[in-house]
Amino acid sequence: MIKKTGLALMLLFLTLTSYADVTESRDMFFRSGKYNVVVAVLVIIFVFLVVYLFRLDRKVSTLEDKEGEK
Amino acid sequence: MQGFRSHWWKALGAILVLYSIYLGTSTEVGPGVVRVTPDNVSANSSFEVQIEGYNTHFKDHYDPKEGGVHVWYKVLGKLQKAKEVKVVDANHLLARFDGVNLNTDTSFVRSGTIVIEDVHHGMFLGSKMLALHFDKNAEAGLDSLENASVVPQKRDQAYFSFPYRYLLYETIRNLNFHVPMWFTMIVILLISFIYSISHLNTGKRVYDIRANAFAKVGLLFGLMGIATGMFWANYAWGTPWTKDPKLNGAAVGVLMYIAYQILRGSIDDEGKVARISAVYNVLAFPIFIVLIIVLPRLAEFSLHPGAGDSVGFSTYDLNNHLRKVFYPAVLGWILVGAWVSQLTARIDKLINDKEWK
Repeated sequence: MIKKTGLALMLLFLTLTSYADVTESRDMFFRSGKYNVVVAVLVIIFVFLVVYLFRLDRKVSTLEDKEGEK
Repeated sequence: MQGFRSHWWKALGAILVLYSIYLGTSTEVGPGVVRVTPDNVSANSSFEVQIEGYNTHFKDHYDPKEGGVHVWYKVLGKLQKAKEVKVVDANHLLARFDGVNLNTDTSFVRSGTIVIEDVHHGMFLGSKMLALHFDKNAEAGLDSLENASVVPQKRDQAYFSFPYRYLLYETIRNLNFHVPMWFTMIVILLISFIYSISHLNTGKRVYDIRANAFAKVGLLFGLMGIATGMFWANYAWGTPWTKDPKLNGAAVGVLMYIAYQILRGSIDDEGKVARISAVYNVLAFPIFIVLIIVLPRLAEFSLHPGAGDSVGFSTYDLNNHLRKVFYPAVLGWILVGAWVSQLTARIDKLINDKEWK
């Protein structure tokens, strides 16, 4: 389990380092091209979905509690 | 295998959304024309302009059979081809035009569109980028421009990219994420509407639970549409909220469905909740459609594309490459929305069963 988590984290870190390799001119393009707005929009969608998932999770928990009372 | 037979559409939805996120974020935007310097010239004598491209890939050398880069200016529907085009680097061109001399009485200024074409980029435009001064010329005299020009071949682009839009730049990608939220909201609320009608017809409790679950998820997608739209508008239009008919229609539509949830919460009698909220939903959905589709379409002015013509956008705003990502995104999000709604309905039904026993 820990091995798998470690591997996942390492792979995640690898993707970050590969982003750092992006050349400066390309970096400039992304900044002037407002690429961060695109990222923000995707993050907003993800956050809303996760909040909704938490609400669903809570409902299932109440269901489990009722099951336990029986 | 039986699981797959009834759940395949959920996997399809997830795959389509992943596909649209992958291509929507990685595809290049462009080519486009950022600026022309100088942007103010006299067209009577020969002149040279520098053209700055966005995400262009002009090459120093073109094969003779590739034909090189060609540049035109277009004014009043007439074209003038550049006599000489020099590639400075991947994003800059120098174009030299011959002067146009016509013997007529009045002088005038028109904004010209820059047309660029090569084998790699196909044809692309820089709309109204160059103010052209014609001295002592009349518009009728422009006929000789056409004679002096070779018309672009209207070649297609050789690589996959999203269209370049002035001021939008990279954010044109958001079309693949923001707009599907609204399509999904409309479809999910339509399903909710149908379940409400079923409930009124049959009186079955399960239809009421489903109608409520779909209305909740429809509201979720409406809120996501507003949140993503406000963030995008803040950059593209300079303010998160404008007096746009589509924005106000969407806001009132979302408020109607918030009211639906409040209505459900405010009545204690289980049987009454189902009937009253079903009637409310049946009335609310047609009004919602009028607010979000019909009224913005009738509006004279809108910052959103598509006012006064098509439902969501005019053909001008989507190129074929964008469509290949946008339509799968719409379908994918609708399927994912239906999946989340169905999950909610199933959980709500279990909770409801426990309470009623």
